[in-house]
This record gives sequence, C-alpha cells and structure tokens, in this order.
Amino acid sequence: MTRYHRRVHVWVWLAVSLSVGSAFAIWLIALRGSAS
Amino acid sequence: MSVTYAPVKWNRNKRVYDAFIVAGVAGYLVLFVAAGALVWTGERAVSAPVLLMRALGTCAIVMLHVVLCLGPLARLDRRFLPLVYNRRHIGVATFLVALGHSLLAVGYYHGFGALNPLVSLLSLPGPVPFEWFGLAALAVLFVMAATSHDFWQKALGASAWKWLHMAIYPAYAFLVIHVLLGALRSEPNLLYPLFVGAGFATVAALHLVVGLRERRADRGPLVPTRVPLELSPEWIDVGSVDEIPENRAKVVCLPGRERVAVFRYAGRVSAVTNVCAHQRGPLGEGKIVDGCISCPWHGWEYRPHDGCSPPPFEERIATYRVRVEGRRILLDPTPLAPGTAVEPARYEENPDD
Repeated sequence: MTRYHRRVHVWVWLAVSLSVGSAFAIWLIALRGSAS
Repeated sequence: MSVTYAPVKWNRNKRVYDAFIVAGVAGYLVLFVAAGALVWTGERAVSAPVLLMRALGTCAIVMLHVVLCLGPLARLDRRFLPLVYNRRHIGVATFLVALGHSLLAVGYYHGFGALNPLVSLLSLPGPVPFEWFGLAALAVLFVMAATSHDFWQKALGASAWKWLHMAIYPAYAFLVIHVLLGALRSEPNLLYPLFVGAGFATVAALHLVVGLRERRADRGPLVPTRVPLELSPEWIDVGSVDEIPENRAKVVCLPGRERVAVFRYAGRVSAVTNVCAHQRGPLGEGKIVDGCISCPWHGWEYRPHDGCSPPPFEERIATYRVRVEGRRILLDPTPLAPGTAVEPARYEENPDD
C-alpha cells in the first residue's frame, strides 16, 4: 500500500472501532435496562 | 497476468480455491441448520426459513472475518499468502451469501403485506432499525463484488480502486451494528454479540499487531550515511548486501516518502518502489523469479533494473539509483519516473559464501 493508503487505513480502523464500540455500549446499556 | 483477455482466468489453483469456498459454505449451512434444529426446540423453535436465514447471516459474517484476517495474517506468516491470491473470490461469495440472507429476510418479514417489501423495510418504525445497517452493508458488499474484476481496476485506476475497496471496513462496522442491534430486538441470548465481539477483537488485534510491527520497522534507524563525496548528500546507506538473501529484497522506509524495495540477485542490486501497480501489494515481500520481481499478492511481474513488466505487459513502477561501496548499498531516495532504466549496482560475491 502507498503511505497515504496506510494512513487512511489507520483512520478508517479508528472510525470502525469507535462505531463498533458504541454499538456494543448501546447493546450493553439496553441489555442492563431490560434486565432491571 | 496473461496475454489474452478472458473474463476469469481459470487455473487449477482458482478451481481448488473456489471448491473450498463452496464446500465450506455448504458445510457451514448444513451444520448450522442441523445444530439449530437440535438446539432451538420447544418454545424456542424457529421455522425453517428463519433457521436458514440465521445460517446464511452468520455464514456471511464468518466469511467477512476471514477476508479481513487474511491480509494481516499474510504479513505475519507467508504461508497465508496463497489465500490472499484469490481473496476477492471469498469477497464475492460473501456478498452472495449475504444476499441470500437479505432476500430471505425481506421476503419472510416484508413479503406478505400490502406494501412493496423494500418500501416496507425502509419504512420500519423506531429510531434506527437494525435492518438498515444490514442493507447498508449489503449495498457496500455489492459495489465491491461488482467491481472486484480486474476490468474495473483498469477502468477506475489502481489507486481509486484501492480507495473504493477500503469500503470493506465501513461494511464490516455496519454488519456488526446490524447484528448487535438485531440481537436486542429478536434474539435475547448472548451468543451472537459474544461471537461478534470475539471476531472484532481478533480482527482488530491482528491489524494492530501488524500495524505496530510495520511502524517499528519503518522507524528503524538508518545507518549513518557515509557516501562518497561525488554523490549528492541525499544518498543514504540502506544496509549491507549481506543482509539481503539472494533473489529477495530489503524494504527501506524513507522519511516522508514511499517505501523502497532493494533487491539482490545474481551479483547485482536494484531498487524499485515497494508498491505494486496492480493492487498496491508489497513488492519487497516478493522474490525474483526468472529474472523478474514477482508481487507476493497476485504474481504481477517487473524487471528489477527498469521497473517494467515484461512484454507484452505495460505496467511500470518507479525505480531508484543505487550503488554498492564495499558491501554497503547506497540509495538515491529520489524516485525516478516509472519505467526508467537504471544500471544495477554490482558487487563482488563474498568469498565466505
């Protein structure tokens, strides 16, 4: 990959991790809400 | 590479590869449906279409994880490289399996109402229905599957094609969100979220390990340069000839520039860009076969001294000027225009070898 692709790769991965992390957080909050 | 055009250049490797994909998908579906019929019984029993829908959906997610893991795995262990060679076949198969899941889901849940099934899907109540994320992921997978052929790579240009195909990551995020929010709605057990969580952790960890390893390698100290006075002070010492195995390369990271692959072959040293013109593969991880640098990803070939593909092919990559002083390799970090011929640097074979 070119260095630009590598750099974008890192940022895309950060965005994916944030999105997936948020989805897990929402899932956990909703799960705890439904359990209580 | 081949001389004549054929829609798919079938060879034994591709047939075996695709046979494994088909057998793997079929085996997974059969196992999932059989296990599901045994596990989901009584109150939790599900109908055959729902069982198949789940089998197809989970199969697509497993395949997407495989696709995403292959890249970093091949960087960590060269034995995975043959699987990268036809990775796009798994990508297309992933789209087809996901399409099967989507058609079944739309038909089953939205196909029997007064509304058009797609209208019904898009007008679901709630803040953000999980189905929309699945649809978004499917749309991205479709674009990638449709443009996976080399025809599109040629039409779009290698760089634009690469940018487009990095959309695999947003598609992955959409799919994970689809599963998590879907699990909240219809599947009260923890199985799917835990599997997807473990999958995400694996994919993320592999990318992180490879990224950190490459970063460390890129930041490795270059040897203090002692270049002869007649050369420009920009020339740098990139190491010893003895560091490079015969017909292999050393990859050098130049600050603020592209990586350079310095090849040693037949008593000579040549340097070219590390970036393949085809899919931006790492040429420096390839080797010289029959006098040509062979890209480890798809076998595209370049002559080491001028960066040109052998006739009748027309691909060209940037070359660099090199010299060998004693056994030290000196490199001019300014890339030459793609296809520029450079006299290879020669060195004396080590008498100890």
